Amino acid sequence: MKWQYIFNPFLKYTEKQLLIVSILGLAGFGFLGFLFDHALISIFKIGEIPDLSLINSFIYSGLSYLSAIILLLILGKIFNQKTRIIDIVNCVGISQLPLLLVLIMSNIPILKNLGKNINHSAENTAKLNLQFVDIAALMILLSITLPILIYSIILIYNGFKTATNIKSWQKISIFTIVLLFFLLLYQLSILNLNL
Amino acid sequence: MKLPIICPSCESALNVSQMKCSQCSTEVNGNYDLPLFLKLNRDDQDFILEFLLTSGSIKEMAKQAELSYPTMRNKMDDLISKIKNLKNQ
Repeated sequence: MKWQYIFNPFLKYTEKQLLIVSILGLAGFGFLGFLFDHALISIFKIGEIPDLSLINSFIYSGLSYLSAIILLLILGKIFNQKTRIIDIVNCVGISQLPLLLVLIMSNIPILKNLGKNINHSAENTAKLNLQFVDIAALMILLSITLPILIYSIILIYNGFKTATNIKSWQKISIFTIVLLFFLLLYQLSILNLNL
Repeated sequence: MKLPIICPSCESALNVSQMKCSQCSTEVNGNYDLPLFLKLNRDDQDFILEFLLTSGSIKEMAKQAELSYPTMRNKMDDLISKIKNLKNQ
């Protein structure tokens, strides 16, 4: 397999193959989120939701997917009338797959406790008391999650680029800005829903 | 032999100035524009030929080239805009 296809699977694989993997990914977020009490709060963001039910886990993941699909479809249609919904669905679905690893990692006990420790300190303005093991775990966590996040962003960018055939830097900039604002607004609004 | 279509000196499009009959060696001189199809590079010409051979099916072309449909459609869109530019020149 060429490296090119790892970073841009949308070049090679058919829409059916990508759609099947995307649906499996969504199911993965639903079930694993329910098991680990973590949900896909928005695309690129996994957060802890205490006592998360299976239905709510699917609602969180589904809404994250759906909102991103609607936004990118509108943007894609503005850029190129020939943009197909299936390509946008696959773009969003495939780009979120690497985050399944983050979801699984969030349940590793040492990392789970570390997260709680950091959250507790942030909420109570208490001094963060980290041991060497915690710092090492934090560094490992960052060194794994950061490349995963970057890979995920590369996938959504390449997916959108393939779906819409955008080339100019102006359109790429608009895509980046719109996506950033969407992420900010969506994460703020979804947490206020209190599912 | 590959037909040169771009001037190696200034990179402008080349014209046809001479043609020769392969049977009787009659030569015709003039200044003729290349047909639009020949102004395209070899890859683009092959793409159009392939499109014709698959009865105009981008989906079939994508299948044969082991590429996705949007990738092939994007190639087609790029080629269409290239041809439009050449026609307007």
